[in-house]
Amino acid sequence: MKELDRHYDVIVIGGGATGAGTARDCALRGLKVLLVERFDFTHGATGRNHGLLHSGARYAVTDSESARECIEENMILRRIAANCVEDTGGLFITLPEDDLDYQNTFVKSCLAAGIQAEAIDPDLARRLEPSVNPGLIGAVKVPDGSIDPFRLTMANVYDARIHGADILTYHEVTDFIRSGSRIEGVVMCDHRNSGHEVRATADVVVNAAGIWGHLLAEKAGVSVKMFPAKGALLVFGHRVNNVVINRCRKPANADILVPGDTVCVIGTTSDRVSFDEVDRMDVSPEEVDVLLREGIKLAPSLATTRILRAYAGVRPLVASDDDPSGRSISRGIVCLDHASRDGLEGFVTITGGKLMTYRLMAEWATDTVCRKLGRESAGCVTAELPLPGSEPIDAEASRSTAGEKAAVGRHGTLASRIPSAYASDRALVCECEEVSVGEVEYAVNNLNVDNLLNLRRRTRLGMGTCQGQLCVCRAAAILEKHDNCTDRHLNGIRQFVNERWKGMRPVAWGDNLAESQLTAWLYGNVAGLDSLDDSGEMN
Amino acid sequence: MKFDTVIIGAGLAGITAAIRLAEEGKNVGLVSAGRSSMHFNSGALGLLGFDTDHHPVDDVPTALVSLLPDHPYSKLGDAYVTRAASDAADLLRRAGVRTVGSAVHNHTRISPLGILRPAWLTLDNIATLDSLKSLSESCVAIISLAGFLDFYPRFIASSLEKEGFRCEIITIDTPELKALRSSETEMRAANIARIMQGDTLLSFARAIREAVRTSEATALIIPAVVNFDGDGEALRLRKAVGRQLFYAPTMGVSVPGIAMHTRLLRYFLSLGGRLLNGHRVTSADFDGDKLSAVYTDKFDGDALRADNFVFAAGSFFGRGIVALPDAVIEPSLGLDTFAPSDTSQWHKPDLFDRQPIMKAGIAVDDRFRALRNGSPVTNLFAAGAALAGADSVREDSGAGVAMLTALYVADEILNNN
Repeated sequence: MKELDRHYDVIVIGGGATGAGTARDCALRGLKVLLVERFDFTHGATGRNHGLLHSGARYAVTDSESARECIEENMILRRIAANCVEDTGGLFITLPEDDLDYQNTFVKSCLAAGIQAEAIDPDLARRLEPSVNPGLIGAVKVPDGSIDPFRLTMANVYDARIHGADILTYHEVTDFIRSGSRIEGVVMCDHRNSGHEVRATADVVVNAAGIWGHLLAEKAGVSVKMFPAKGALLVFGHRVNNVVINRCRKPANADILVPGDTVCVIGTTSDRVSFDEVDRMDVSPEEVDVLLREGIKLAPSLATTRILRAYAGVRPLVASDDDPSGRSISRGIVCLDHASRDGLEGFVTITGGKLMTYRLMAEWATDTVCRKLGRESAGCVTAELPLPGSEPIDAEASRSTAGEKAAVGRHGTLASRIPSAYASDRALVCECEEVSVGEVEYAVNNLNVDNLLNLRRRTRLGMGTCQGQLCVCRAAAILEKHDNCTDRHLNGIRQFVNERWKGMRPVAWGDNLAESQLTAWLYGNVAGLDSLDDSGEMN
Repeated sequence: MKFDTVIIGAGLAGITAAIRLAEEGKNVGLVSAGRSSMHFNSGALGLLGFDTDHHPVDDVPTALVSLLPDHPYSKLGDAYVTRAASDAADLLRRAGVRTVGSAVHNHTRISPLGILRPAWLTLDNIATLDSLKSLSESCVAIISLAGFLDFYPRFIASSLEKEGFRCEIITIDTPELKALRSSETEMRAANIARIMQGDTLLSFARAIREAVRTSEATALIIPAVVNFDGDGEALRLRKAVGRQLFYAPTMGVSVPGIAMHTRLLRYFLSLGGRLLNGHRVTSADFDGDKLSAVYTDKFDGDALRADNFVFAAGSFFGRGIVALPDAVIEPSLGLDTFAPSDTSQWHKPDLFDRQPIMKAGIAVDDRFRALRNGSPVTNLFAAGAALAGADSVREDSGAGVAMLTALYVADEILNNN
């Protein structure tokens, strides 16, 4: 057992956007922070969604409070996370089978929530977004966009660390240290060090673990009723649309198509699942069917576009405290001080909400922590202070190669820290996503990268159309030079390829099956990786 | 256009059948869509590397016995497999592809990631564990090229050290490599091979000699980034360096793989064969139980006619067969296919596990004649990865199945006429 030799003001559990945002907010307000994540950052719902910068329009009719939160955070994120946001604009389209009257209600509700929604002529919609279903009978323009949740989360982590936070990945909280009715710290299992036990103490512990927060609360002895809702999505092999396309009807399956980087994403489904399933989210053939069928209605050319992969995430839906049946579900933010709610001191849960409102969630959680610590004088600055990498940019001018430009896209102003003085730094490891040797080195040295999946989440390495066909071995060799763990990194290649296969398997026909056969042959047979024992998932 | 035989597909199976028939004086048309897995081949060929339980095979004839009846080798018969495997090695030799290895006992190749694997034939200047073990000293220098990302000396060293070798890694740089590096995507094996000629090759050889001057290593391993064709630069470099020098495969597009493919095609052309490059067969005419003509996307309705046809268009990767969500089809001629009927069992969560869908392929009778609407097309034979019944990726039987079934169907065609 190991005891961290520092006592913290606050320990934040969960390396998604909310946890990272809370750690950053706490650190900016001068608190001593430890951020703990059981696997890698963005491993949960943060890394498994549309990447949609909601305008809030989707909720305008059914949930005006969420809609208002969304549009306010939308405007804030455009300012503070410029490097993670793309201003694509959005359309809500009405198809012949939909009720055109709904469009009027929709526009009125949007305007009431402060969302600039404007009904436009279907002809104009077809010109704005040529891929849209030409049969549309109505269209509304809204300020949707796309957002890169990986970049967003890492920018928060990075800034938290700059402001003194300690960060632990692959540390899973297995228990709480308690004294009477007070939580005084956490007991963690170090997955990277044969499950070694590590303990850390703090005045307050924040549970920001998404759906897993339900289980953590149980461990702490309190009950937060969450319901896991699975959402499946499909990624297409190129960017069919440049404007977000939504269906103008009550929220339903597969009615949002979001362009992001070089691809586009259709989603989602929404189904209650049990807690046994939340750690293994497989996409079923039925889900693929419905996503494709509904997606084609938004943009008919999806019918002939290659599906790159399928994935699913779990939303943490929370039942209101006054309704133990769980029928009244809100997508709104839930921030619980368990001292006043349950008589348990030193424990705060932040949950519900959405990727869009992660910053506001972090603000609420940090306000609660500060109140408990009597540090209320420190105000929240996250609505104004740009995230690292999103400061006004002029780095573009000095960067010339494709890899350098791509790196500016991914890391914003931080790209200036990427080594590029020598030709060997600038050599491309991943040609699809233009990731250079220097960028890999930068990620290893600065962004908690220990394996190939970490690297993929930080740099998009292996996420392009070839899905890591050649770059993975190159990257593994660079990682191996840092720690000499030859066998671990060889196995890492195998696991990386299998992680890609997990996404391709639900859509493994046509070109995908052909590519998978080449991959199996190249990596399993020619390179020989199928001789290795699979030592489990790397996460 | 009229041929004695038209062969659809110019991978290892198609070329083998084409060479065999052309050697017997037949007028052969070889239709190539241009996509062959040989370009990624690391310079080694597999006959049967792993048995049905995925244990490495040492003694091939013993392992053949345990194969299922629907496997192409089982259809050929064990005795035929062993005999034809040495015929295949002879055919490669006639084409100028020199290999080492035996059809009875596998040897051990070193993969691009240093992993040791059973192999049937390996190009004779590529390092195998057997060739390294036959050296008097067990000290090896692995030469890497500055800035070259597709060669893995540390992985290879780690593996050889477990086998008792002492390994030293030496990085070489030359002005020519430096110039190549100035573009961020140029340091790839095929591009390096393109400049490794004449003075550049000599400068490289000098750099190696200089770098290993004080090394105790008796053998050198360098990445396969020099022209492998015939008596080309690979051989010249061996001579110029002076010490025992072996090549090791790189990841990705492979210089020895391309050289092997080129060499075989050139031999076929030297026998008077006709290569239709960049053609994809799109449709066909049938006459009763015979195939009379095929049409490609290039010839605007001009038919390719022949007495016999060979279908060697490959598996999913070669696009010989195509998977739909719930069926496997052969898209150009409408041939019958075999695929496991329960689609939910097609795939396994571990890509490197046995994937039942990989045994899919076109259905043939016991003479390897392709079936269409349940009956054999009497002048259409199938060979190679297109055939159902082998999981050649997992068994490492791809090269063997390709060459041996190709020799078989070539003989069928020769004996019938």
